[in-house]
Amino acid sequence: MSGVEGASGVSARGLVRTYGTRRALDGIDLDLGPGVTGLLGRNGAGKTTLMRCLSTDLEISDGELRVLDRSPERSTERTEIRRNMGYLPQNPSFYPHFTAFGLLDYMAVLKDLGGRRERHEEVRRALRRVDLYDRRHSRIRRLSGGMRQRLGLATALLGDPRLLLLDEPTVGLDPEQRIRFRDLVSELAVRSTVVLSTHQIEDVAALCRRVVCLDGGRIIFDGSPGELVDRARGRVWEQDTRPEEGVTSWRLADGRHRVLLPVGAPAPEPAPPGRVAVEPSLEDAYLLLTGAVGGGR
Amino acid sequence: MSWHLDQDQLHRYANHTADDVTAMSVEAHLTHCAHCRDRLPTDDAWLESSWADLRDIVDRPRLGPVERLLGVMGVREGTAKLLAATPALYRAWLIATVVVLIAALTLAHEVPRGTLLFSFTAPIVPLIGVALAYGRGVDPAHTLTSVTPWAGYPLLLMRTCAVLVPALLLCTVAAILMPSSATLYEAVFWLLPALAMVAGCLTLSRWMHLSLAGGIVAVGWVLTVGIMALEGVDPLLLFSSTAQGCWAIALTLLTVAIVLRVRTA
Amino acid sequence: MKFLRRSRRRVPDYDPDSPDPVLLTAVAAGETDALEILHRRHAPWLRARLRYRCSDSDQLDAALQETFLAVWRNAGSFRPRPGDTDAGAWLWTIAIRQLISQLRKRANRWIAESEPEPYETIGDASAEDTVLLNIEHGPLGTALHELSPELRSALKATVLDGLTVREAAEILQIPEGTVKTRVMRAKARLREALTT
Repeated sequence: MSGVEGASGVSARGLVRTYGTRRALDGIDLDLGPGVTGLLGRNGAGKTTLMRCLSTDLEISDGELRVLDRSPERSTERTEIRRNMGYLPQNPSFYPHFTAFGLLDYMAVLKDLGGRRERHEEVRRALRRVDLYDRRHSRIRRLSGGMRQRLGLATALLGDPRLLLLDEPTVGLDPEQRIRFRDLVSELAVRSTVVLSTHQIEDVAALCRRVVCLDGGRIIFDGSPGELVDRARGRVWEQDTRPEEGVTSWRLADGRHRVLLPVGAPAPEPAPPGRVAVEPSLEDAYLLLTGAVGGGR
Repeated sequence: MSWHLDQDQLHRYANHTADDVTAMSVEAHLTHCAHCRDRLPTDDAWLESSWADLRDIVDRPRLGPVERLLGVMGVREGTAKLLAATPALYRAWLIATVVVLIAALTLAHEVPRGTLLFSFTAPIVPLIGVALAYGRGVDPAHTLTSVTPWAGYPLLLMRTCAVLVPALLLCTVAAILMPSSATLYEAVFWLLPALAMVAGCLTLSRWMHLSLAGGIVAVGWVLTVGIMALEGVDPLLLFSSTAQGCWAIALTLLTVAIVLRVRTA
Repeated sequence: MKFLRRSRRRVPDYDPDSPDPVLLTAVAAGETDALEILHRRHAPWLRARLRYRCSDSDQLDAALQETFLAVWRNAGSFRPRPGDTDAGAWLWTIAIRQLISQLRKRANRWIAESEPEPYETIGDASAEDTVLLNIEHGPLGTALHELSPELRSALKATVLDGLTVREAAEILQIPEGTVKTRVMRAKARLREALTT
């Protein structure tokens, strides 16, 4: 028990997961500790596969993986990991005829969270944390999409886990709920390791001390959001005209164009009319990163 | 209220040190004066725990009939919750089972050799229920439950029990209502094959999805019966005493395999 | 059935400062939060008051819990007098009776509990009660001081706590006849003291 209490991280060496002949994860080296780590990547980059491997849902095909200082391949250690981990899967689905309280209570039984009294207290705490306490006796089929998403988050929070794996947690949340979510996650991240797989770059910018970008089952960036932004510095412009093909750009509301110049490509000469270098956002940096590796548009 | 108790009176009253007459006076006042009640010194820790006790009773979710029944039967509360919570397809299977058994019964009473339908469906009724009890696709909340400490065999075996009990009960009732049912053998001849096939399905699930494993075993059963019928062998031989012995041996072996697997998994 | 009925009832808007009748209506509609507010508001003084009548804190807490459970179940039966925004008196009648029933349980554990009668607000505060409100400051205070403790406790149970003679006998653990005579004697003494 003490081992799990102390260790809150994830450590992977040469992690491989194959589906048939396709390598969904192709040699992942990763060490994660307390704090929020953002996992970015396009669809199919391997984010969800990595999350499922970390959550012990999927077995790894090759390499080494330790979660909370335990090996998910051994059954007793795997159970120990599961006791101390919270996992919010992508698009979680529930038993629609259950109430929110009933579902969490059921999950709490599966998580071995003590006798009825203790368990119910924990369920209430989780419901309060995701702001669903007032709806606790509503049937899940009567809850909105955002509420169900928060209910899924509540299941992950049960038992105050040391490791929290959240796959697309902010889908369906309105801006206000997203702020609350961020607040909650940063509070949890003081003691726990939180892995956040997402397409919402703003969430990563707001929450994460560390960003890991995946592409084709490999890590293509691992560092702080600031470092990722630094890479894009001097490569983001705004100009009056649409640039030539092969460069990522989009039209802004004021009619100008934001242009991302791929790493290694020379800046076009002469400079297009109205060109101004602008401060890159994390999103620009992320697009440049995946664009550069994936061949760009 | 035109006057209020002073702090000293309230304090002595709350600490149980007020004399009789003062206490009576304070009480008569407090009954009607919300202002002084609010000023009464309070033990916050006590208040909190008292409310927690109370909330535990008033804010308890209502139990379903199955869960309550299990509780009355002495099943542990958490276990009862796990047994009573069943995947979405459970109800459909239960209804299908009842329909099939009623059809089989009707057939048995109306058509000569009609009992054959029951003979060959009863053994796979529990199997189909088990095949639909656990796993991705058949259990909507599987993505959530599959990474809990109970996931895997413990939950699978729990669900298997939740399926077997009603399945075996229904089949037994149907068997007893059969026109030919006179001996014990005629009431339970299907039991060993049924259990052996369930055990086979659970064993196979180590390598494949439970539903696929169940499907393979069920198809195997149907094919065996079909081939025997086509080859002119009486399929009822599958229930002969020799065959029953084989089923028993198979059941034992498969059970041992499952137990070993659960122990080491 | 109860569940269905509850869910149909309209929940009034309430907050921690809402008056008791509003909270009770919310409790009747199944709002546990409203019950929590009532509990926070009333449990401390009810407990302090019960403590003057029972020294066993387990029985006391049990009686208090039963009191609020009774409130939870019977909140709909609270009928405030027009303009009355306080359920203190009503709660007390529940609490003192729950305490008696706890004491009774302790005494005859093997006797099956009969259904408790529905709770009703006591009618208008009795004349004596009103006088008692100011005992410390009036001549009644002195007169009470001079009563023997036995007479005083009989008076307290019947007049202040609003118990019937039978209930008073139970809580004081003396025969009903004794309660009656003590109350009569106590009242006579008080009347005497007030008229002279």
